[in-house]
Amino acid sequence: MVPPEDLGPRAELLTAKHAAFIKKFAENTSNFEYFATEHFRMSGVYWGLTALYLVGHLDDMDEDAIVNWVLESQHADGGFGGSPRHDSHLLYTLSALQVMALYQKLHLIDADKVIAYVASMQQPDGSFSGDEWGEIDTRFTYIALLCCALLQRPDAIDRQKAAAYIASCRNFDGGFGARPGMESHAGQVFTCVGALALADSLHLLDRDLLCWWLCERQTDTGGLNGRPEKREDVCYSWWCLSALSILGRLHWIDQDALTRYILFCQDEEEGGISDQPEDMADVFHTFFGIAGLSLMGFPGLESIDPIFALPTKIVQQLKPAAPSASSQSSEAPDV
Amino acid sequence: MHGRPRYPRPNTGDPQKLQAAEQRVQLYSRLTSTVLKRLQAGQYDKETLDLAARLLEQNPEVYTVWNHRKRALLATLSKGGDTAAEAVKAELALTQRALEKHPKSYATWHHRRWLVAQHVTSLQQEVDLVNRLLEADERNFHGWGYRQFLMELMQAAPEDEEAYAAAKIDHNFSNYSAWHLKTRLLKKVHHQSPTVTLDDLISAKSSAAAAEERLVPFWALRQELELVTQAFYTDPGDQSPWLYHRWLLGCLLAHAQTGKNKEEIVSLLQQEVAVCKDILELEDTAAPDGKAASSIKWPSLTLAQLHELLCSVAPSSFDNEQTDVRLLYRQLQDIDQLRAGFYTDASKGSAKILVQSAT
Repeated sequence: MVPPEDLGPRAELLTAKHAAFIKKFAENTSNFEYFATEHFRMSGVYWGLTALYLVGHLDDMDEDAIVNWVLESQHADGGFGGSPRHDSHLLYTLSALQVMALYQKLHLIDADKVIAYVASMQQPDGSFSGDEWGEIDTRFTYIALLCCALLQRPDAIDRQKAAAYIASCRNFDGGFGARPGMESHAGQVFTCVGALALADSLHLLDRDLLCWWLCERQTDTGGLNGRPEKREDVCYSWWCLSALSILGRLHWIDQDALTRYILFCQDEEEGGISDQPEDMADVFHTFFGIAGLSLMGFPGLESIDPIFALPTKIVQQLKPAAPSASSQSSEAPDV
Repeated sequence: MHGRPRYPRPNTGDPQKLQAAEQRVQLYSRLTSTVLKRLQAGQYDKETLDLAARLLEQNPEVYTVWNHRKRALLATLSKGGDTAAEAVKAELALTQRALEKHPKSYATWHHRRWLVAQHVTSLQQEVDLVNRLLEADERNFHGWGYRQFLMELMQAAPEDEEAYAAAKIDHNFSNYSAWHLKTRLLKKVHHQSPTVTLDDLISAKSSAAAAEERLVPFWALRQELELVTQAFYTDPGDQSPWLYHRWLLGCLLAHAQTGKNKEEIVSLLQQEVAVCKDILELEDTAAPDGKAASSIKWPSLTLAQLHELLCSVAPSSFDNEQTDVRLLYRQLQDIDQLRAGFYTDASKGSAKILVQSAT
């Protein structure tokens, strides 16, 4: 759906409405959605809180309650589950660290335990399993590297092998898939570019070719898709943009057109942003839409770091043990 | 989270519907609590596992429940016999039901993959399942990834996989997933060249010679170029064949790096130039709507790439190609405005997308 010339009530970013939407979602603990999303609530909390931070509303939420809940979700093996009743997994271990980072409470975490869990997931070929059950995916490499960076233990894993594994997932189009041989997908591209950036190994990718493939994700609606011939979706505003931003090619897409598309996906009545215009809004797309706008410098939003997927101010305060986008110039020379 | 319409708003209906919704929540939350409580207490009896299956059929991404099923299954498998065989059958049936309803569930795909890795399943049955799912959704990357996993286990011949990819493309030129698979297979297929003996492979070879062996032979490239050309004429606005074509040009570039067969390369490139110009002429009369713009953009961009390649392969014969290229990029800034930033950099030579294809 191409946004109309006049976006009407959606012409502005309705930050107060989106903050209220996120808070309302978090406080509704009796609807079907609450129970059905329990297994990945840790990520939901990260998306919601980071979005709130970007629009200046982090204080709307109960920090103490959230921090306690995060800590309750850590298990004996050192990892975190999607919520206290769920098994440890790298996905939720990262989300937990990101939430604690937002509140500058990483010091409350037993870093050794978490790092031991993360490091135990690395395979002989450099890849990472998501948990003890062996699912391999390049997302987990990014997650592992980021966990180590957040906890200041970059050498707890074999970074060189991790980077080499990512490189083995590079495809004919410059993009990356979930495993070697799997098709390029913008979500995987973000995690692979992020992983290579964290491992100081961006030279292992083809910058121009990949960024061209990424800019070809923009459709006539102004929105971005994740793969050729797929429909545009607001979440790709993050997956594609963060990679383009890390690689210094954000100007290869039409930022005005994308901005209009994201704004058009707002729900001006109940708040929130949806995957496509006129669809139901959710916290996931609200976060990624706002994050995408932030990367493009939309006025009134806090800046977000494209590698850490956390507010720039938070990353700077951490002085993390790995390159962040803010520690490099955005127009870094080609490698 | 994806594709749910905004209207009608939920929870704005008649009291009966609201009550039914409320009941559904209660049932689901009770089921979840019962299942998790029992599983976490190590209770892996049939009733619990049946309840767990019911939960997973509703919500297959509840990974913790699949984890427990793995533990339960491992214990059963170690006992062997009929119980083990029955348990495997039940697990296969459950994951199949789950995949048919939720073909993009990471947790379900992984559970099925894990099951196969226990060496208790028929690989052919798995291939049949994944082929069916790829019939239903030819772009399901979980399916394609699973198929790749099976082919590796079965040590399938690259030619057979290539035939599958070719059939998919024949069915729909827009199947990017299939074109992607071709790029993985093409070199595999042609490296089994009968002219390279085992002795050749064992004996020390210069890196240049080794690189040559990794080249896709000209006759194969011609075949592929013919195939994409058919796709171009079918729908010049479809990007998948053009993206594959760029990779083919990269394969030609690899040949060019050897310094040999220059005439053959130039001849192929000129043939491609003719195809692009022909398509542009055919599209010339179309009105400037969205569809027509993409039908012009791809042959124009490809023409620019071809000129750049000709320039680098045979600089002395083709220096005036440089002017054509800059003009093309300027035109592309108008035809394909979303990517004006890219074309600006490309016209300055700071956007190198025509790169040698990796071996």
